[in-house]
Amino acid sequence: MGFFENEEKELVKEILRGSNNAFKKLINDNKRIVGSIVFKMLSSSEDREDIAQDIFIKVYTNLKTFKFESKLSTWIARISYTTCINHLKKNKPDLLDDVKKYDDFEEDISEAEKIEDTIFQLPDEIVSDSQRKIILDEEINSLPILWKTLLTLYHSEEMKYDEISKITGLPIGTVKSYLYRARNTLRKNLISKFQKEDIL
Amino acid sequence: MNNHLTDYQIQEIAEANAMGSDSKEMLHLKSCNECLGRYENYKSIFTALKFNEENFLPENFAESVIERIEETSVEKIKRFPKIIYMAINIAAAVVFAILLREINVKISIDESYTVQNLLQTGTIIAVALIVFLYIAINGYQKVFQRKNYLDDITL
Repeated sequence: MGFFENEEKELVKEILRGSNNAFKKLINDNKRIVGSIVFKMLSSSEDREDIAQDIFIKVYTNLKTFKFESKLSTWIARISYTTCINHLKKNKPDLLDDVKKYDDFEEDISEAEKIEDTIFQLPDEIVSDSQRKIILDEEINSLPILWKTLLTLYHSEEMKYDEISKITGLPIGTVKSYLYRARNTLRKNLISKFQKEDIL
Repeated sequence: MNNHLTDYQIQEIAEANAMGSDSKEMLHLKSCNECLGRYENYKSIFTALKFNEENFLPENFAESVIERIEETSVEKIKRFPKIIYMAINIAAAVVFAILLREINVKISIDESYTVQNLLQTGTIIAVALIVFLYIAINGYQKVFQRKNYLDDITL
């Protein structure tokens, strides 16, 4: 931890001294996490790269205010999340309310658990890896923006709950609860999709 | 079959990759096909999510960002003189008028007014101008940055 912290401090110092190479390194080290957030939260392909650029320009402009109270990547992810939220609010404010349609989810769970569960499987001979990926992508993308962002941060980016909490500003308990609900919904949607398409 | 594990318990086991443990839940999981099926579902969802990457930003992304920052700086420099030069022109005109008046008055009433006196007056005015420019530049840069980049960051 100490080593990485020192390395980050050196990098930030170099950037503040005006080194383009140091800033290029910062971008390359963090473009994956920024990309993950931007691509999950924004659906418009025209906006995505511009917003990602805006995020790094904000990072550059505000770097002198970074206090090393969190990892640099967490700070950058927080800027990414906030920027995307503001962009969404500006363009389609109702998009952020899409979690509401799952509000009576708790009742759904108890009801659903009474029903005998279907176990979905995608046999290799029927569904190829690329088909599997397409189906899963579709189902993930149909989830509320907040949920799919949390799933990405937790599963693809392997971030811890406290880091996700810092990035999104949500309490850790809420992050856990949303993740649980998102995975449960995803599983149910996949089951219903497979039944409908008669893949099983 | 009321003893089935809850969905939450199954997710936790799948997440912790805890199939090896001897807990009550694990013993149930190993002996119940229904729960085991749900567990397998979650395992495959977790694996798929882990590798669910759309990609993302282009190879030359860093260069594009740096280019944009440099363009913004050039734009700043280009926009900057319009305001400052106008101020300089006005200030210079005022200074010139004051100097002329000063020289005229001094020469007409006091023949001892020398070139040295004139240089002193000029130096004071030059220092005042530099201070004015410094404040103007700093103020402009701060306003410019705030307007464009600090609109929505609360960290």
